[in-house]
Amino acid sequence: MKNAFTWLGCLAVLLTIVSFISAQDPIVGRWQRIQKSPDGDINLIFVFRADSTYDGIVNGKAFTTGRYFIKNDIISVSDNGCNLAYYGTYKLKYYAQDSLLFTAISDTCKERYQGANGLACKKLPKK
Amino acid sequence: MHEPEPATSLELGKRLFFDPILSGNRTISCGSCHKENLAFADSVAVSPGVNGRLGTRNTPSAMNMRFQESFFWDGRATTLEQQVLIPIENPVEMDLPVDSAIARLNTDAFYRQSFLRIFKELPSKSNLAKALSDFERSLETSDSPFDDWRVNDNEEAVSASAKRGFKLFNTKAKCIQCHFGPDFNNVEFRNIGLFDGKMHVDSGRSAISHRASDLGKFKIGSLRNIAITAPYMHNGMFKTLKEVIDYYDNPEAVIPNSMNRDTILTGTLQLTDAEKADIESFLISLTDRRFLK
Repeated sequence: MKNAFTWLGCLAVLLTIVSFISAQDPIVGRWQRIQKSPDGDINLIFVFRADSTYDGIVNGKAFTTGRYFIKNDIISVSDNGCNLAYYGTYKLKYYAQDSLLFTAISDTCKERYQGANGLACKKLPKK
Repeated sequence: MHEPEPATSLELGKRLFFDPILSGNRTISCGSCHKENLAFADSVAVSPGVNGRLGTRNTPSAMNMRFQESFFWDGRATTLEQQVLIPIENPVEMDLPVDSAIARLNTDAFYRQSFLRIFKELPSKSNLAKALSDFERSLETSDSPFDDWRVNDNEEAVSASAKRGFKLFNTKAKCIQCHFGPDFNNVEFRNIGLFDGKMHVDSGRSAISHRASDLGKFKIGSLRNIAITAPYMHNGMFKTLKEVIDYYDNPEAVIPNSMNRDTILTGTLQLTDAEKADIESFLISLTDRRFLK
């Protein structure tokens, strides 16, 4: 009887984990964009975490950090370079599970708009 | 020991960077002021040039140039290729006209052969600039504890103090308003209050742009490796990061009646001593691991 309870307990924990993973937004993970430049490739990576934080990395250098929220196919993003309290909104379009395009809906932060509008990224495999 | 012959423009640029052949009296190289162990900056307020001559500005780090759009404290050069030739000619730095430098390289068998091998042509102004700028462009650093924390989600990479400091940097201390992006600077010029027209008279950007609104403005410096590039500011007037943070906390207390100071720096930040220490911890976390050994 005690063994049965133990197994049931383990099963409950496992189901909780599985339900969390399956509920995770497909954006969670690392997304890459490689841009050509006269001085060599520019390797952009965005890390979207399950806790609604994200970071931008360029050629291995962390360059921006902020928060994001997703509702349906709209992502709202803020970052430290623009203003952590202000959120720009972008439409997300997944061409496939590993291919994502950002299109601006509304963002008054010029630098972010220029960088993010039309940005297409490819998802990196998990480490 | 015999040094290997440079095989690329970058390798040739490295050789030239550390060779005093590019100074008038053959005593000063780029590396004399841009010291490799100090993130290619110097440890004195103003570096001595040929015959001990002194200019008026602090040697900036020559690292992390790839994403920069202007060079020198006043932005007088807009490309790295322009930048690398200017100190060679400057009378208080290397004091050698570039034409004379080219003539000197053409009479040096080693350089003559190296340029021919790499560029398929004899030393010239353009290939000298290319070699030096290719070397400088290679001096990128992206392996700091801060990067490890943000890029690899390594929570152990930086201290709790540094994490608090990063939060302050982004909020109460307002540093992020000028110091953002991959190298923690941006392309703007700002007047942080170090011009008063009396004791502090370097007009900065306005001497280049000829605009009164640029009076006292200087290029925003990168913060990568900042812990090892003291002293600070365009004139090297602050010896420690603590002095810098104290200044930003209350600029008026250090330089009263400065002219044209940026509105971001109006009033005081009212940082506590603990908060100042946290910001310093964060700044130290921007030091590349090659300098932490």
